[in-house]
Amino acid sequence: MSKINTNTNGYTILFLVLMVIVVGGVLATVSSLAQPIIDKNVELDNKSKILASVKFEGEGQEVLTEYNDKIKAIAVNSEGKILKGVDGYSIKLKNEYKKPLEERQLPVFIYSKGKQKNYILPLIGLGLWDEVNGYVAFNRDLRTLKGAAFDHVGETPGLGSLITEPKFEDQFNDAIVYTKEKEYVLKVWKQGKSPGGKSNIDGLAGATLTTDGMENMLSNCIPNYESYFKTLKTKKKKKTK
Amino acid sequence: MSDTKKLLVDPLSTNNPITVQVLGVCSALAVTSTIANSLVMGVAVIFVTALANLTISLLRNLIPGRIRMIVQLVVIAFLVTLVSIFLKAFLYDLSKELSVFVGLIITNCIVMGRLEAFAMGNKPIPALLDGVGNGMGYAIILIIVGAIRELFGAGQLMGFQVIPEAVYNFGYENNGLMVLPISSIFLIGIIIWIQRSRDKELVDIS
Repeated sequence: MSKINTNTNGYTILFLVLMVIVVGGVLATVSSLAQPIIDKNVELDNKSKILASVKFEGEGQEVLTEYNDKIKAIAVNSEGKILKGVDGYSIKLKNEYKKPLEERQLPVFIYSKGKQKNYILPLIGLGLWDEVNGYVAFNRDLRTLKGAAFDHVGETPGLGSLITEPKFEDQFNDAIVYTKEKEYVLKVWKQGKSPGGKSNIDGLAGATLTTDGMENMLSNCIPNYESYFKTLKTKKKKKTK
Repeated sequence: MSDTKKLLVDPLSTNNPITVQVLGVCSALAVTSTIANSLVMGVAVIFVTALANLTISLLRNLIPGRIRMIVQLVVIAFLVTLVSIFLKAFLYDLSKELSVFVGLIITNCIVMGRLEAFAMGNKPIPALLDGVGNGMGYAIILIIVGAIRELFGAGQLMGFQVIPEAVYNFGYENNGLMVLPISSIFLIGIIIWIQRSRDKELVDIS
């Protein structure tokens, strides 16, 4: 093979152009081929997180069936009015929280199973590196939780990423969010500082900033639904009268 | 034969990328909290070093000298993006667990280091073996550190509880330091110390 002079400008530019075309072409093809599979994974992941907050355990198709059968996704505004014709699932929470409170569309997932009814609220906040999110499922009394499920985009593996583990999430089972006097009392403490009890959550070791992010996320997102809860309660009272 | 064997075996001990070449330490500190994380990261790096070495070695006579680093980076980034897409499509949970660290393989000095030091001047097959060897050398250290951290930090190995409940009842506690990335600095330091005290030849290299 005769030696090519690889040091000329023309050759260098030609090489770069070819490289970019080849690499770009292959990556674009692979990415568009994989996208439907990735989208399915994301959908399944979202729906199983929503159901995990009400302690539904299942995999794959079971999750999708359970979701379709038992969950109604609606959206409310900050005054507690239900927004007609809005699908709660398709709302991008990230965008909503950029808007002023009055304009936000706040999704609610209502889970009904026999007599059990849970109001699942989506949460979004910032961890140490990136977004943290999750779902809390309120019981019928609208004061206590059935459970919660969390997720994150890029928290440190083995540290902040532990918010998705049962050890952390299970602390939210039956947790008291509002007192009878309607005061918001849920709090996530720095690891080891929690005084205990049903409203105090113990944070994660070695992940103080993720823990703070969880506290901020909960206390930012949940109170947005207070008006909605109020309207639900008055409706209930009217019914019983 | 002995030469090819050397390419594979040397990086595991006497020319280990982490403990001897001291490359790729940052990711070794961060992802080693559990064995499972170490394993996947190790496999991903083996894949990337091997194929990047092979590709660069095949192209070594065609790559313009002045932009060779750019070309190396593009090849690495290309392979890492493929790994990342693959994980997202077929091992979704794991890809979430490893999150940013898969992308950070691009900046892992081992890959770039082997491309510059070996693949640019050697034939494809030895380059491939060198990549596999160095990837494995990296993986081995990650798994050792991951095992120690998971055992003492969480009392588990591969997610299974190995330290029985009874021991905890006696007052034993998981070591909080082991959960933190800082512990890997000490652990890698100790591994380097043990390795050099056993193999005096290594002492003068660095």
